[in-house]
Amino acid sequence: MISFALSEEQEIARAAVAEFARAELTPAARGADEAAAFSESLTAAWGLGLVRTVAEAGAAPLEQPTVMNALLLEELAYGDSSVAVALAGALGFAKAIAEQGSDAQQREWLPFYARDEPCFAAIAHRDAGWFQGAGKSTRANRVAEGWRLEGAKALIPLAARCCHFLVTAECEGARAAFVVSAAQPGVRVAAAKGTLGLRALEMADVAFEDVFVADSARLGESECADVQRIVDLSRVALGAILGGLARAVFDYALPYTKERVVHGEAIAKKQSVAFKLADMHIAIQAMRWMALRAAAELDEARTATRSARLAQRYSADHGLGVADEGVQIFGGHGFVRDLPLEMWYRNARSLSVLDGLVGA
Amino acid sequence: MISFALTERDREILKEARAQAELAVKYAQDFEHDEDRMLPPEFPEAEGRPDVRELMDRHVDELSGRKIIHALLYLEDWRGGVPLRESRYSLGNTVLAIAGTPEQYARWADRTIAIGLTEPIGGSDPASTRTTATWDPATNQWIVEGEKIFITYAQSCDAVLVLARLIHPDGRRGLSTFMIEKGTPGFSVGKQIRKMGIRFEDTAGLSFSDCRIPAFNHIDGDLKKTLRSFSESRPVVAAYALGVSRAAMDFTWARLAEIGVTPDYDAGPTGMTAAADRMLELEAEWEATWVAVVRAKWVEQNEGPGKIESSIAKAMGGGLARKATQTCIAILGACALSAEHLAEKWFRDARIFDIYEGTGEIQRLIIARDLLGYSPKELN
Repeated sequence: MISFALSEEQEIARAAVAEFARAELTPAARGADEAAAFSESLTAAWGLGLVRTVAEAGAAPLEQPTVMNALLLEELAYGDSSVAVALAGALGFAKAIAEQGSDAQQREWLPFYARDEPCFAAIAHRDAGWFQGAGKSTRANRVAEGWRLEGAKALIPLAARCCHFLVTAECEGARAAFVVSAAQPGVRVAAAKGTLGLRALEMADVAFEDVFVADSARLGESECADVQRIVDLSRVALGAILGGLARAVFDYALPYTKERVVHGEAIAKKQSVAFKLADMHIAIQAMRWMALRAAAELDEARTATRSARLAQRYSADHGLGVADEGVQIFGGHGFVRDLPLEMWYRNARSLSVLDGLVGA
Repeated sequence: MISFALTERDREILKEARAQAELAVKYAQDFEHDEDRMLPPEFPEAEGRPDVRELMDRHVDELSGRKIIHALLYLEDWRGGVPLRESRYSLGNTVLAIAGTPEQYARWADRTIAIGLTEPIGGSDPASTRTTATWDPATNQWIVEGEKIFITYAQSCDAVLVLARLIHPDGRRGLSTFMIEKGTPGFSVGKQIRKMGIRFEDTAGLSFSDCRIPAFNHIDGDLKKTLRSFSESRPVVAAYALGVSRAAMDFTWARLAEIGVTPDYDAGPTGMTAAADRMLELEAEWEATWVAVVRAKWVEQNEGPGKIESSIAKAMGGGLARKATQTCIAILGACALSAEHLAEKWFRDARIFDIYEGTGEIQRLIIARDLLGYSPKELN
C-alpha cells in the first residue's frame, strides 16, 4: 500500500535532529572544514544516539530502521555533511553486525557502539587505486582457523580514528566482509593528505597487509555475509546525505535571490533565476523520496540494489547540480570562503563520487 | 508508514493493463498516415479481456488509491502506443465536476466534454482569452464569439467547455466557462491538425460565430477553478510520459542485450559501457518521475489536488520524455530512424508532454511563485 506519510516517531526524531543540526552543526561546519578536523560538534552529534539505537536494538530493530537512518542522515547533512558521513560509517558498521552478525559477534562488537563515548567505524569497501578492478582487489586467503587479508581500501572517512573496519574482500570466489580492529597488526592507516571536500573527515587510504582475521571475525561466521545489502544501505545513506546538503544550499540561496537587486529588480523575479530555484526544488524532492523509497524497500527485503543505486545516482547527479547552481546564484560571493556555498560545492562533488565508501 | 509497495490488487490490474498494451502495439502505427481516422472505442483484441478501469472501480478498497492507479493505468496504456480500449481523460469533465451545479453535472456527466482554452494568440496565458460570451437579454441567451485551437477531442467530443470573457449588460465581467454542445448553430470544428506525433489523438480547432446557448449552459467556473482541473490532470500527463519513455527504454535495453550489454546496478562508471551508463542515468530520472507522479496522486487523494506536486510531476515527466526518447535514439543509432520500429514514433509522440497542459516553463513558474511567495504579477 503506497504511502508517503512518516510515522509519528519518525516525525519526532526528524524534527529533533533537524533542530540540533541547525543549532550545532551549521555554525561549526566552516570551522571544521578550514581546520580539517572536527570540533565538539561531532561528539555532540554522537550524543544524539543514532548509532546507539542501532547497536542496542541488535537483531530486533525498530520499525523501518533504514528509513529512520535515512531521514536523520538527511537532517544531519543539512547542517554538515561531514558529520553525517562520520556517523554513517559507525551506523553502517553497527547495522551490519546487528543484521548479519552471529550472536557472538553481536555480543563482541555492538557494546562499543552503545556507549556515550564516540567509537567510529568504516565500511571499507572500495579498493584503493584510480578505478575499480584496475589495481589489486582485497582478498581473504584461507589459513588455519581464519583468514589472511591482503589489500588496500581508498579514502576511509576518519581512518585514523576508527575502532573497527568492516572490510569487504574476495573470499573463495564470493564476496565476504570481515571485522578488523584498527589495532591489529598489519593495519596501516596512511597519512591524510587533505581532500577537496568533507575535509574534517581526514579521509585516508588504509592498507591491510597480511592481516590475520579469525573465523569468528568473518561477518556471519560460517555463512557468507550479504555484501550487496551493505552496499545498498550505503547508497541509501549517500542519497540521503546529498539530499540534505542540497536542501541546505536551496534554503540559503532562496532568500538571497529576493534581496539581491540587479538592473533594478530582485534576481528572483528573473525567470533564469526563478527556474533554477524551481529545478533545485524538484531535484531535492526527488532525492529525498528516492532515498526513502530504497530505504523502505531495504526494510522489507534483503536487497534493493536497483532502487538504492538509482537513488545514489540521481542524488550524485542532481546534488552536485544544486550545489553548483548555489554557487552561481551568489556569483563572486559564492566563490569566497566567507559564505558556505563553495564548501557545499566541494562537499557535493566529493559525496557524489563516494559510492561504496559511506556506511549506514 | 512510508511504503512504495503496490498492493496485490494494484499489481494485478496493472499487469492486465500491460498485457493489453502489448496487444495494442500492433495498431500503434495505424494512425501515422491516416490522421483523420478516429480511435475506435476498442480494438478487436479487447474482446473477452476485462476493462481495467472497471476492475479498478470494482476493487477500490483493495487499491493503494484509485487516483494513483488511475494515473498508472495511463502509464501502461502509453507503452502500447495506442490504447487497446479508448479511455478518454477529458478536462472538460473535470471542470464540470468541480464547478457545475448538481443539475448541470447530471445533464452532462456521461458525455465527453473537451476543454476549450487555447486560442491562436497563445495557450500559456489564459488571462489573455479573446473569446467572448455576451448576454443577450432579448433572448436570454449567451452569444459566444471566438476561436480555439489545438483542442483535444475536438471532433469526437459531445460538447466543449469553453473559457470565454463574460460580458453582461449589468456590468459583470471576467473569465468564465460555457458548455457548448455539438450541433449548436454557429459552432464549427476545423480539420484535424497535422502533427509531428500523437497522431491518433483527435486534435482540431473550434470556431464560434453568433453561437447562442441557454443560460443553463453557463458553468460558473472562473479561471481559478478551470486551472484547478490541471492539478488533477498534469500528473496523468506525466504518467503518459513515463509510459512512452518506458517503452523506448525497454526497447533500447532489448537491443543492447543482443550485444551483451545489460543493466548492472552495482557497477561503477568504468565498469560498464558508455551506453549502459547513459541508460542508468535515464533509469534514475524515470524512477524519480514515477515517484513524483505517485506522490502527486497520493497527495490529491489525501488532501485534494496539490498544485505544486502536480507541477513538479508534470515538469519532470515532460523533461524525461524528451531526454529519454532523444537518448535512446542516440544509443540505438541510425536503425532507430526507420519506421520499421517504434523508436522514431516514440520520439515524435513524446515531445508533446512538455508542451500541452502547461509547458515545462509554466510549471516552473508555478513552482517558483509558490517557493518565493510571488504573485503572477511579480513573477511572469
